[in-house]
Amino acid sequence: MYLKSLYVKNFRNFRAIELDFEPGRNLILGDNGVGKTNLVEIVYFLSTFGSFRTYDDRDLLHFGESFFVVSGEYGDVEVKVRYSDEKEVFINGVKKRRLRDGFGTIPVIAFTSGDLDIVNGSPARRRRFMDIGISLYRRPYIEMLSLYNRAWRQRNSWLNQVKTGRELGAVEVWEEQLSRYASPIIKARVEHVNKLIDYAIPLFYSLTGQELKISYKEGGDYSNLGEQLRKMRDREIERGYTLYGPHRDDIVFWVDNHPAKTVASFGTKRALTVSLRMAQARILTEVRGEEPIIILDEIIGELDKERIGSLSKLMSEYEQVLIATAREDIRWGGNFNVYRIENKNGAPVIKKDN
Amino acid sequence: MNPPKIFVRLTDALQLLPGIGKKSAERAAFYLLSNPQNGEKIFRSIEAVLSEISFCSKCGNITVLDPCPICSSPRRDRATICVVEKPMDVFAIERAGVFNGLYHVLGGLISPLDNKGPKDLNIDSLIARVGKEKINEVIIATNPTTEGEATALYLREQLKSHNVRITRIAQGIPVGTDLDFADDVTLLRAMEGRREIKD
Ligand SMILES: Nc1ncnc2c1ncn2[C@@H]1O[C@H](COP(=O)(O)OP(=O)(O)O)[C@@H](O)[C@H]1O
Ligand SMILES: [Mg+2]
Ligand SMILES: [Zn+2]
Repeated sequence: MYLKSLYVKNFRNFRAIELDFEPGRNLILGDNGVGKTNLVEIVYFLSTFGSFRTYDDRDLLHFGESFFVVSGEYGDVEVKVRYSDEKEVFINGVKKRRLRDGFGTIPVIAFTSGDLDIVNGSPARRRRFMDIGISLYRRPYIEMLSLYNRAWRQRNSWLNQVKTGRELGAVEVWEEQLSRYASPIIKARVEHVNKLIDYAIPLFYSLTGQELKISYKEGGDYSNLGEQLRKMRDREIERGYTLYGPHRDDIVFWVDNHPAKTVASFGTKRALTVSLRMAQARILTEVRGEEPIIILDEIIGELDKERIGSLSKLMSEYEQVLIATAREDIRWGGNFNVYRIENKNGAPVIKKDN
Repeated sequence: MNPPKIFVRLTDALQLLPGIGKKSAERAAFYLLSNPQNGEKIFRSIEAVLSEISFCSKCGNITVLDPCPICSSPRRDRATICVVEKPMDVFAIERAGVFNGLYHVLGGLISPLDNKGPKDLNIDSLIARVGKEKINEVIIATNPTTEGEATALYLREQLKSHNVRITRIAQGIPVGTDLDFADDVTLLRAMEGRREIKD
């Protein structure tokens, strides 16, 4: 499945776009600040209904506007998202009751400069990396996360009320639900990390010659989470929130037996995030039986010639790759469709090379 | 200059309603002022409801007569109780005409975030009914939300020691829905709640 055409209104610095794309490699060129990342951000947004750069959808509104519409046509599937106060998703013209019912209809994996946060950032950033990766091939997982999250907030509220002297009762029902929803979440995460291990480690080795280890760090005693929650109740009342469970999970990366976060160089970290994204793309292909659209935003310019060569070989497996970069010289063997974004009187204009 | 005191008293009172903040209260108050006929109509209906409607002392549903028509009907199956969250759920099931037993209205769900524990719901009266009346089955018909599930779990625990069958309503594919169009969790739940086809 590939993106055939894009229709945009009021997204970031684009007032209006109507643009056709082709399968294969699409290169998006232009000076810094013209809107290359904004363009691929739209393609990512059409898959996950969120941005890879901001959690606040209002940032995506063209300055001063109150709504945006983005829509993409992919063979016989059309995905449209409209935002003004609320987000509405339409698949082939039919409005989805909830956003998550349309999540990942078109699978997209984006390699972005922000991916470094997967290594450098907080555990929450790594859980998000896993959660989106999993949700793209297993939609009920999103529902489980939201049920778990609600039960977690309910129990925290219970703990806080006890702390202030009000005993509401029936805390067991939240503990039972926490462990009930935790178990499919944990199972899916363990599976995902195992698949990351299978794919990312050899990729990382081929890029760097270094040995990568990945481990899943459990946020609680998963042999019996319900029991742990019961035992910890008093301590958690003091803290006012639930300590143990998948909301505390983490992933740890080791390069040549050193923790990557604190020891690895910038180049090594970049190779690591590239390997992780590549692995997610392969997992998607394997589980869904369809290839994701690949987005490479800028990161290719950060790599040396040799790594660009390896990456380009890996990319040739995919039906459609969108590459946003300021570097003209990035092209490797084979054909590219080239799009140039230029700034004309303060507004971006997109032209396709013939 | 401040608005007249009695006007402020009205907006303050309106804000006692769930989901009504200061802005909507002010808007509603101005509406009542500028549409006195509708204001009068609303005033009369509130007065009538407050003086004539109360909660059924048996099942907790809203009613003009106590006990309510369902609780006092000789034609209902008195051995089955269907437990629901709110009065409107009773009317929905009655409209469908799919149930001929008695009801019990909890008046909410367990939800610490809304300051609600079991003691804030009509649960003690349910347990008392199951102990006193000859009940064979309690059907728990709370919504399939986290709070609805939590409440169902709590009721199961409370009723376990009684000699009564405890069931939970099934969740599944809405009638007339193509499997293709059902969302994944509906499908998941429908699978979990599957049963044998008997002839
Ligand atoms: N919400 C917005 N409305 C209008 N312009 C925006 C908005 N958000 C970002 N921009 C503009 O987009 C440009 C950056 O685009 P970007 O895609 O990041 O550039 P690049 O081509 O370097 O990837 C900046 O000029 C910025 O002012
Ligand atoms: Mg950019
Ligand atoms: Zn009654």
